Amino acid sequence: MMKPIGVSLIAGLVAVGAVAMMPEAALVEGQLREGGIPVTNQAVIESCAACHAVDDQGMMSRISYMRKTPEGWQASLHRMVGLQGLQIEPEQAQEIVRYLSNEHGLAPEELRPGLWDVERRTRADRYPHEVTLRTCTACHSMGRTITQRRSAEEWDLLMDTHRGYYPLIDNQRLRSNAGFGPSAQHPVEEALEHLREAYPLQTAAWAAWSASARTPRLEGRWTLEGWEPARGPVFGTLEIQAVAGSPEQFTTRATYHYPREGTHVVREGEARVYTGYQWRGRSQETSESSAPPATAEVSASGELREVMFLEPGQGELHGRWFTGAHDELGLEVRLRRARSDPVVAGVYPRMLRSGGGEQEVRVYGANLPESAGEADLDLGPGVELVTVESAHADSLIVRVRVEEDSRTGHRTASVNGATLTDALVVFDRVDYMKVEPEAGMARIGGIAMPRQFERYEAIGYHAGADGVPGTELDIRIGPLDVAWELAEYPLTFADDDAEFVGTIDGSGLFTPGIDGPNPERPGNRNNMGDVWVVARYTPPDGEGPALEARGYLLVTTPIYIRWDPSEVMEGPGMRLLDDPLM
Amino acid sequence: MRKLKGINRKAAQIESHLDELRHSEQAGAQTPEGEEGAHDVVGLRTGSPPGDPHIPLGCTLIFSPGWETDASGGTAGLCQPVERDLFDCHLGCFWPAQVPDQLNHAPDWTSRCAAAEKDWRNVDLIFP
Repeated sequence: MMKPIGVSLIAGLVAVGAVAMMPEAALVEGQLREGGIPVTNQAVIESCAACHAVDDQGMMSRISYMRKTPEGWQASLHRMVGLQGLQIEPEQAQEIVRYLSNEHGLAPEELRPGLWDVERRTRADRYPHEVTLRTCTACHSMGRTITQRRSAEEWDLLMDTHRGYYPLIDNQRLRSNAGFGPSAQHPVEEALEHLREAYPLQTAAWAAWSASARTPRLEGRWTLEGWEPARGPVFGTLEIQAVAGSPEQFTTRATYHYPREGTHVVREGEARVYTGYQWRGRSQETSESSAPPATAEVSASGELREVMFLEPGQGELHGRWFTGAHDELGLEVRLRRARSDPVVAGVYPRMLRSGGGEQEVRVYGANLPESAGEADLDLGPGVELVTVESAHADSLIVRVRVEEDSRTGHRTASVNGATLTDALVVFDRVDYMKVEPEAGMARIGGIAMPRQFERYEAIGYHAGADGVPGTELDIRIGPLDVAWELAEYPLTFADDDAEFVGTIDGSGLFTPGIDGPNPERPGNRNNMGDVWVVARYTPPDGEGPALEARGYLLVTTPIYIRWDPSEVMEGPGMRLLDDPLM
Repeated sequence: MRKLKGINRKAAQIESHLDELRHSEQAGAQTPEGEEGAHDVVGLRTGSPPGDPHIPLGCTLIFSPGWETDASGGTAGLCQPVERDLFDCHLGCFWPAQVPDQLNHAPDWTSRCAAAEKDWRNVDLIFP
């Protein structure tokens, strides 16, 4: 974190000055050549035209030349309020975000590669264009970059904006690895060249989507199937109702349960759909929910944000529900529309050991036949249905026996012709384990800054037909019940991180240590460090060998500024708008 | 390097020092127990033979690697405690996505905090 100051500081300032002096009219003229998107919304014109010039074709400087996610537009609006003195009522702000997300948004296929960013998943940034990756991820994720489309000139202006707000960046990360000499291109220039090419304003995908997109009719019943790390699968339903007079708004009531814990949850919420497919909601647990077990104290409970993607067929919504204050705590969810036909949402338990004797299996879904007999249900080859114990429209409880010589692999569940592929997996033994995430990250906190948790799972694998682990024939079985512990990852002399970084519980939840200098560590180091997270598996009834696997954990420094535009935690005077994303 | 021969006394000194290092490495020599102070300052990663220059505990110097990790992908080379470097990052707007910058977003961020290493509890999380 030392700051090498280079000579290009002056060059950088000159560049900023040059842009600042460019007359607004010339700017608009330059952008016009690329065919912008005219702004026809009164709220945008009223609030923004004081600074953003409007030309006779309805183009507004800058605004007409970019497309972004709702989060992206909301971040811009926050910046205008915080730094440019914009005064605006929450309703007006909401209308602006709605309009710009719809008319200057992204097509579904354009957003798909960047979904992880809006769904707030931690993930290692991988991107094929190395210079762009290094330039952008010096400060923020590539997700921020690839969820935007801009005209060529607008990409340049974006860089100038960065330089204007942060005059030193040219001499810091953006300068790293810059070559010298006549042919050396500044990495920023190289990155811009790539961005202009890869993310232009006008694309075929957007032309097609913006011509056909309508507010979707989502009201009705949906099956809900999900997964919360450390707590296991969830199954249930979500009822969606339209809000009269406001076609893009919906209210929801979700009912689901965690079969592993035996708890159930009811949540009520509100949501809005942007650009015809981007679900942004918020829900609260109601008093009908059962108390979560003590082990689920840190989990996706209470108020949750909902970020989901409506597949263009409008029969499936998928995404993530997370707490917001802790993005890392959340549920993976998949909703399937349930009309009058049966829908299979999932099977629990999903992992069936062959030759393991008779056991109970539940099939979750909607409109399942209440008079179901063994003939209505098929769980795939080798899975013999012994009896149907109970049948309800949303779940069937059956007893099955998996034959001794069943082939290891995934099975399709089928109820009266409604199918779900990969609904369950049959296996004879676990050959090896992998810890997921392979490399995780947590942040110290709890005193001045919030901590960031991490959750681990140990996934069992079968070595497959070739019997060799690590080949593409391997079969992923699923998460195993394991014992967890931390072990030192020796990186330095007398490395003692494992004593300080935090603790991991039996469910795989890692809770980092507190922030602040620690007088017990040499040099008052923080409770940061690098450790192994070790999983130990003992097979039930001694079937097969005990297994061990480990994952890496980086416990690192807090961040002191949260840019996430959908953040609503109350900071001291930092919340400027009511959250237009709900 | 092995094909080059030093021509002055300084070069000879360096060569003999390197030879020593090489020998001690081959013998698997470690810092003897109880030799406090030989490596009281935590350097970057292992693999460095004993006798390497001491990298000061703190900033990662010119590697400018990332907020979360040092150049090796770990935390050993990071500025620690991080509180020691907060003011500098704030004033220099060096990590604008991680630390509030004094130029635009949070000019008064450190007003209740005279020395970050002592008053770090008084800085607020900023939502720009």
